[in-house]
Amino acid sequence: MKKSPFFLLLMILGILGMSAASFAPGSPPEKKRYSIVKPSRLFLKGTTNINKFTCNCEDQFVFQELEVEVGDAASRFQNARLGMTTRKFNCKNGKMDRDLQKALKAEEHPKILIELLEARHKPEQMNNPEAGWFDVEAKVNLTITGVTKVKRIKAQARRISENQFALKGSEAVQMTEFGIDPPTAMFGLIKVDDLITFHFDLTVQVDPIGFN
Amino acid sequence: MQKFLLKGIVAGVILLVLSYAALWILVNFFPDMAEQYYNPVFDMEGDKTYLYFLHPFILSFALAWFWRRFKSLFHGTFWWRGIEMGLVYGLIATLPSMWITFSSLAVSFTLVLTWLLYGVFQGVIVGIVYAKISP
Repeated sequence: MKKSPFFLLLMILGILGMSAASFAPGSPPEKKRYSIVKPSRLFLKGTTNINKFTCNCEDQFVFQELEVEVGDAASRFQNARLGMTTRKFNCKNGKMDRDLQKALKAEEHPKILIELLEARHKPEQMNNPEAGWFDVEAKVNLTITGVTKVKRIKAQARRISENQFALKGSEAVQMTEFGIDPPTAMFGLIKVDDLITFHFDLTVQVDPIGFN
Repeated sequence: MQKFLLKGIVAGVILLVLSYAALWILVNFFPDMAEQYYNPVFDMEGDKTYLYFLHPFILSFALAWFWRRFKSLFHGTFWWRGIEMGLVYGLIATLPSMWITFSSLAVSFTLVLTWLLYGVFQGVIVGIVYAKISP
């Protein structure tokens, strides 16, 4: 199963658990390397005036590295800039795929860019392996069709094992907020609603790297 | 010739309005069927859009010639003459073309049936118009 680099954004949220559990608050920036493993899924959901649709992200995933500085209530990130290929969304309908790519201006902007800035968490939850699912919130710069907006994404994380954790959640986005005209069909009689929601349900593998 | 053109345009405009109304009814009252049009087979946007809106006039002028040539075969009130012409058009033109469409394209039977019924409906409307303005 192919995964999207967009997943990496959410992996960061789980990395916080790993980092905070292993290092004292205020420690120097640390490099981490991570990947997405099965079972994982990222998809977007939307509606039109006649039906609902789901588009799965099938972008290729590569190992990523970033630097994270863990604080008491927040962690800050550097070099955490990710790109998700616009053409890799599969709506299982060729026309819908084409309309989505056209709306996202795939020719001019082949990537949706996400820059992770910081993430907020409760240390007591992260330091407790028995905590089960805990809440995390990430502040990101989201760039679609060249328009950048600051977003706060809420998610839930859970440690599965020593180096694996699960992430799940969703984030609703208004297309018009990014200058995107929602697609229409049948001479404007079928309209895609402005609000689309990204859903993620990930399993993340974290491999620590020594920081020099 | 001028009368011929005028009749064709009148009937074409009526069909054009009805064609958009039919799409509106389809989307608002039969959404499951409208969803079938969201398929790569149907290219209803972009450069071909004007062709779709020209089709009522293609039909109206074709049936204008047909009416002028064969109107003597249709008898009764203008309503019945129009209905009969629509049924004839459906039988000799729409039914065979829908038959081969269903046999060769990946479209549902329901969709093809709607096209058949709509084709007959178009023929009836044009027939009534011509039976009224050119008896």
